[in-house]
Order: sequence, then C-alpha cells, then structure tokens
Amino acid sequence: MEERTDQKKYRKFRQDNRCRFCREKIGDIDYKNIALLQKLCTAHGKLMSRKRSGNCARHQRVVKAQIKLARFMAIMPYVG
Amino acid sequence: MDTYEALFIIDSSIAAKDWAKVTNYVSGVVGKYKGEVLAMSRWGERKLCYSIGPHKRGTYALMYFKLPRPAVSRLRHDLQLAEMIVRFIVLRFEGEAKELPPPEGF
Repeated sequence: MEERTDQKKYRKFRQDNRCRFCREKIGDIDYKNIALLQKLCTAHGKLMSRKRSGNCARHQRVVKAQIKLARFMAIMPYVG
Repeated sequence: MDTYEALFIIDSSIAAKDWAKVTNYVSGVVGKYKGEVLAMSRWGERKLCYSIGPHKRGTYALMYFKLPRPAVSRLRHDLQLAEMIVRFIVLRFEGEAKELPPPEGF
C-alpha cells in the first residue's frame, strides 16, 4: 500500500505544469533580456529554485545558463 | 559561414573619446578573417554590477557578424589582445540580425 500512495502524490506534480515559459510560449530567454531574468532571481541576486519559480526542468536549465552569461557580462550581479 | 553574436564591454574613457577607433578595430578583425559585420549597436555607458579590474563603468556594444567557423578562436584571441575591450563574449546566433536598442532595465 505504501508504494501506491507515493505514486498518487507525485502524479499531482506532473499534471499541473506551472511553468510560465511552457504556458505562455515566451521564446526569448536571453541574457540580454534583463527584466525577465531579474524576476527569476531572489533579492540577493541568487538563482531562484524551481520550487519557487515554478519552472519546468528544461526551461530552468536554459534560464540558469542565460543568467550566468548575464552575470559574466556584469549586466547582473553575482551577489546582492 | 555562420552568424555569431558578440557583446563587448569597452573601456568607457576610450569609447567616449574615439568610438570610431573601436568600431574600426572590431570590424577590422572580423574582416581580417574574411567575416562580415551584419549589425553593430552601441548600448552606451553603464555602471557595472561589479568592478572588473580598475573599471567601474563600461560601454556596451552588441555586434552580429558572419564568420567562417574555424576563424572564431583566432578572432577571440585577437579581441583579447585589445586593451580597450574589457570583456566580451562570442555566441552562435540563430535568427535575424538587427540593431537592438539597450534592453529594458539596462
């Protein structure tokens, strides 16, 4: 019985995909698009986790790479 | 010939004094490796989020260009030699190359 309840719990996560990029089909997750990337960072400039940002794994990876590019080009801060 | 996108941070004292020198150097390097500059947009000066060496402010320039694939690493090497270019990235680019204004919140 233990095993079945787990499956039921995880099935809920997979159904309601709250990823904003999947839903609204926003194409340009780009390091130049600072306004969008800043929404996905915490107040301390850290990358927001998937639980908080609601992104799916695929788009979270793209966002992570673009934020690191923006940080390298001093458009976004590493800290603060 | 692939299209590439390059973003430069240029020493703002040099950029303010003589912008033509910057564009001539960069398009010269692209031309040297038989590339072709598609669009060059100057985003202007801005305070860097963190200081890079002595620089606290920098002028940004975005450039789209075409270049044969083997020449990219040599292009990067030449761009590193230039003192006026504080930092740059060169990325592959799909899509339509055009002059872009500075992004919102720049």
